[in-house]
Amino acid sequence: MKKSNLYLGIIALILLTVGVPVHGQKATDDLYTMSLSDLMNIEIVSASKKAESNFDSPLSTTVLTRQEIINSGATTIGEALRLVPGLIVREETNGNYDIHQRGFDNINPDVYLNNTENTFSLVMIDSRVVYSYFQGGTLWESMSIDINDIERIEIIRGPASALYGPNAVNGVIHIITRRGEEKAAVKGHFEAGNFSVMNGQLSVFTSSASKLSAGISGNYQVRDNYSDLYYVGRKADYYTLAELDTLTYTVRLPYPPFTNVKSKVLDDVDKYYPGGNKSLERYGVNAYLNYKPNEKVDVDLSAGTQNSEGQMMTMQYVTFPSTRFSNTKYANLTAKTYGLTTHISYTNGEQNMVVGNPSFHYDFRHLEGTMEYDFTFKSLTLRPGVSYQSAIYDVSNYVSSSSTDGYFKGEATLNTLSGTLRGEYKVFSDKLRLIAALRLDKYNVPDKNYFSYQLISTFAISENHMLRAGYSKANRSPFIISNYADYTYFPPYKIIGNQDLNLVTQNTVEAGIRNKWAENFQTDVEVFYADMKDFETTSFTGIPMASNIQYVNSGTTANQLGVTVNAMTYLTRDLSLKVYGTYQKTDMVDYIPNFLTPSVTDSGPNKWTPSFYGGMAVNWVFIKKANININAYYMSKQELNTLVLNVITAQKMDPTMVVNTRLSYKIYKNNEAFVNIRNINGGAQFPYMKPAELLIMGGIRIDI
Amino acid sequence: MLTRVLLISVFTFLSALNLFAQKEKMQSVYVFNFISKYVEWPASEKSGDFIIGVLGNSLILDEFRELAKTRAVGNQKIVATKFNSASDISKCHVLFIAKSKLDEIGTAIGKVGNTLIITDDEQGIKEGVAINFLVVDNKQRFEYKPVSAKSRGLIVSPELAKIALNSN
Repeated sequence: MKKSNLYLGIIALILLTVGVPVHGQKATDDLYTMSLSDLMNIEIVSASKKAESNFDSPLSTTVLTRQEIINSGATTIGEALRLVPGLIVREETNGNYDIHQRGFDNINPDVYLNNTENTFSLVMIDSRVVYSYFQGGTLWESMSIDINDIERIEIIRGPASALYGPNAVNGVIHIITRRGEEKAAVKGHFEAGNFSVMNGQLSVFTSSASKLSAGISGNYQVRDNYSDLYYVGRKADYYTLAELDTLTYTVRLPYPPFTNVKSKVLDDVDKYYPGGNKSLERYGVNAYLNYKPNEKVDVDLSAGTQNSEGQMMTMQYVTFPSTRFSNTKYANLTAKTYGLTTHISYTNGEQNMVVGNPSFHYDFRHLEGTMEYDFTFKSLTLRPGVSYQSAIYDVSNYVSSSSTDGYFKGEATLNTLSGTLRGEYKVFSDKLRLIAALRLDKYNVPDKNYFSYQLISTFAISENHMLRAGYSKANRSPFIISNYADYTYFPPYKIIGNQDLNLVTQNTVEAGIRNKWAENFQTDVEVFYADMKDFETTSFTGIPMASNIQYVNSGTTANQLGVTVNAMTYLTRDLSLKVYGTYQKTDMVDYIPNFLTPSVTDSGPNKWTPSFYGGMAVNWVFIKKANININAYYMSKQELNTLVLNVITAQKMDPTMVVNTRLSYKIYKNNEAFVNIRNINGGAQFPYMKPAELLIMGGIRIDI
Repeated sequence: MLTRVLLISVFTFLSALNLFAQKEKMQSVYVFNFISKYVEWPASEKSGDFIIGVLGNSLILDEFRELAKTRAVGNQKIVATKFNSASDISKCHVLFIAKSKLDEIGTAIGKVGNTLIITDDEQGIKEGVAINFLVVDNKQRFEYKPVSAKSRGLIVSPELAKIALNSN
């Protein structure tokens, strides 16, 4: 992309206005005939409402609503997140996404690709953290919920550890699930298309008007890969699963007698790919109970289970994509009683990062509890809180303690005890708002305390123009493999953990301005500068022959300067448009290009985060009852540095633009039939992976 | 691609002059529900035009004008009119006070008679208006103060209090 074009694009974005989903966009005549009770069920998330709910937000925030997601035709949560500014979303295989906020990944290239995973975003569902502490990151396909369960997604860009906890380094993605409406309801959708895509989701709710309400939902998705070819690192070529069944390679033993040995690439293809060429198969069931006896008490209990098998680039392990498996259950309780908010959640289950390989197979249990209380003294609000988090990972059901398999041995525990204090003070007739959030986390490993904070102020220049600025410090949590690894990589080489690592820390300064130029025209611009330190890498230790590869902190730092622009508008009552984009530059200082030679460092730009990424969405009710949505997502060129045969190789990706459209027609009331076309043009979005192909689906949406 | 983005942007920027706001449409539909189903005016007010006044700048005025094109209250034709300041207020059945004119609320209340007064700010209900709009969970809701309607000589169906978020 030419730079001049880029600047033009940015100027265009600043000029622009963003569209918002067409909510409750019934013809006015329909509305006039509705009762007040029915009107109350219609969402009015308009530009102005978004402005009001988000306008005063002290953070860089976007709210993605259910209707916006439905209109866009997004078939997975990953795809829906392409509708949000500040997110980098790459489709690895059909239905499986690599999702990042702002970047800072692939800083020190490593033998595995796990350093390309997004470990810097805290993802939550109804305040329950959904994050894997095995190696960091979120297993998106392992969520028990799907599109039909979502009420809205709140996205915070920028560090928010002090407010939300560790791992909210680049931001927070918080999914709020749907609850019942005034009347009992059934909601769902069913769609099917090429590449054997089948996607069915259904929810049933009781009326939320009574004190006690409940709901249950289920979802199922299955898809085939866009291609039947799998990449074999040792051959640097692609093969079908049938070919992989017999494929052999020759390797020279790295230890005496240093002879050449012929070996099968995979000992049993079915063991590694139990789903064959299916890229994704998943189901989930969720239920909730809500008790709201009065305005000051609200108790919400939810529980669910899921099972998923997805083929993706979790690790660069022999053949890729590899299969990732997850089978989990959860219970989640949030109780708001007068000023006290209590949240307790428990998640447990079995996961395998590389199916077929026992080394990445484990059981886990996550427990978290938080209590916060609101004190208000005139213009000052204080919210002190305590929280406890425990993550226990156990491989003993899959590898014996004497085995050389298993990335770690037995059971490994990460505990965190935290104290938080949030204060807010308003002055000058509430025009100036000052917020300070402080958090102290005490970890069991490393045995260290980490202090994170956020200092934010907003200033209302007028009712329609809001300035905000903030300075924050946030850190990532410790992970199991970097602390507890005890893995025989290649005899005599072992990968071992390090319980004295410093946690990755980011400092960010950010400023933004929101302008409501008219009720239907809003822009939001944020400029951010962040620097990060204490990245992890692996280094040779041990005597003799430097036979251990240990996790260590590198002396690398990285900094990022960027701007995100978001604009939205309603052109007419039936036509909305939104446009958004981020331009950024990340520089690495003293990074280690090759972990085999850790003393050799270099400095330069990080090219894995695209310099420009963003999108647009147009929604148009072009005739009564018919809606068309066209959305596009663009990423400029990218380069992933990865170690191939002891040499760092830059895997170059061309700029990509993905265009999707969904056309729907309301057959009866809000029940509609639709055609959903994805990837109208889209290239390969992840190294080694084949390009996303055109998907054409048809379906119905139920709203009773 | 970016050239296209630029063109669309310019188009959008120009088109943005065709103002439309979803929230105001919903509120106008609510108001139509109130005046056609829930609120009864004294007999003296049931002839002539049914006047909806908007104090200050608000896009809801456009919505009321749209409403007036297709709907009526009983036999009364709806007329939407704007008042630039509280001192300009003349007889009206409904008065919607825009946010920018909340500081004139006291004067406005003193100027009207059998009028349903509506605001879109929590300050309104404290200062004696009958209906105040607010948004909860992205849905349009309203607060209702029966005493403020009654003091204006309006008869309001008790059903309205059941639907309102707060009514005391």
